[in-house]
Amino acid sequence: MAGRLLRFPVKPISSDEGIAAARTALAVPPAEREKRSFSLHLEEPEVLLGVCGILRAELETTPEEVAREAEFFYRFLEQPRRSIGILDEREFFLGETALIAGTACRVLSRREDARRWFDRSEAWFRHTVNSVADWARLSYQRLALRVEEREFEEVLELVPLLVESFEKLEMREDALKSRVLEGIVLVELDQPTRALEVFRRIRAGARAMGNDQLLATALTNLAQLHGALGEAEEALDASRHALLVWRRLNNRVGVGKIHWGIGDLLRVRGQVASAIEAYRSAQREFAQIGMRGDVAALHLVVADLLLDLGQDDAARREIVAALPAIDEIQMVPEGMAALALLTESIRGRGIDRAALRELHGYFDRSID
Amino acid sequence: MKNRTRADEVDELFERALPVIHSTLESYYRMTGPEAREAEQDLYVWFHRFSRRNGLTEVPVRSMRLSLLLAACQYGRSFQLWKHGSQGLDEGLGRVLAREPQELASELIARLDGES
Repeated sequence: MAGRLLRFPVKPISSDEGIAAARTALAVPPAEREKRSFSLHLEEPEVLLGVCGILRAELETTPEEVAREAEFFYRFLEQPRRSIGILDEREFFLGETALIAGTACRVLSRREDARRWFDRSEAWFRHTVNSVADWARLSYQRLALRVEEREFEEVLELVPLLVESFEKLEMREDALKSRVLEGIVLVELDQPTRALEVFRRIRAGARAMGNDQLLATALTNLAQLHGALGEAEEALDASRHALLVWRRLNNRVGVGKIHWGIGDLLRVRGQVASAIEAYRSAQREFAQIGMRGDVAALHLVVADLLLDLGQDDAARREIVAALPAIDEIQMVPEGMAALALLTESIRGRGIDRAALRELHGYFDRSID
Repeated sequence: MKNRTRADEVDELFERALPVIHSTLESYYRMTGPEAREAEQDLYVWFHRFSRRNGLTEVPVRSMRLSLLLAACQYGRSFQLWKHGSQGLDEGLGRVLAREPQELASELIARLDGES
């Protein structure tokens, strides 16, 4: 920042005006928006603050749109170089829009894009006044990506360090949210008792803080865990409660995950047809918001159930429907090996069940 | 009695830090009185927006003191570098501008703590 000309605003607009202007700007199609940037106040920090808040809140409702919008604002701020606000505000908004775009790409299983956006975010956050806190939020997203890529040992090692950073910065909600990653990894490592303990602690903490998003996340994970353990009453109780909160927050990812969890419960209880119905509901929810990775994963789960029912042709169709999306998603080599085995097997007579199960293990439920 | 909002807390913190900010801008970064006052107005607007950035809305306002003082130091330094470029700096100001704002801000926090 050294030697940069500082801008001295004449009359800053209020935060309420900024949020209203942000809504107006987002309602204008991106193609027209840049031409109208002056009348839409796109260079006003209050408007950009409003845009970032709105996009962040919509990440799990319309992730495709959020990815597009965040990219628009990033490009708008980046080139041509515009003088935005005071001190580090341009750098902050560039880092923040990149972080939002990366998070949306992660939710959509576009992992390479997510990584690229996170790198951009890191570069801009290097110049912000509060870079430690900004980097900590970025680290959370990178760790979430590593969970999705099944790098469990690394995540278990790094989560406590991230929690410590957030606690030092008094970012208690982010510290608690980081524990979700730990819980998910414990589930994956087949340690349900420890995972239950983690999610119960998150539930209690979220209640104490009045954080609905985090509360519903804990409840959703508890529902899935109880469901997988065949504990119907606890699973349904947590599901009902979580569903209420997700619907109120209009969080479609959360709603999809609850349907998925109910499917798991019904499956464990041997109610295969109902389980498939629940998985289909989750699939519809994910399909409508462009979560192709989760849709593909559910095709594989349903294929597995159809094989149980002896419906091999229907199972084959499910797998074929999943393959294009799976192909697009970058997977670890073990996942690619399972994919190759499965693809080979559906060309032959019998579906390789082990490969099928291994593969849907690489598409675990997305993380908030 | 009126409930204190977060914006009120931000105002209070800024007011408490203002004497330290003012003396830093004038004495340390050698800004003129009008320059320092203009800088303080900018910092006030910046700090209110800063407290509403994603990730900070739930953070206690008191823990943003270091960021405010760091912003003040960065402001003073950037302003003088812009004003003088690399030309015509006397040795004293040159030494001040060579110093990391982060280091000075940490010293100012200690000063604020000592005064409270």
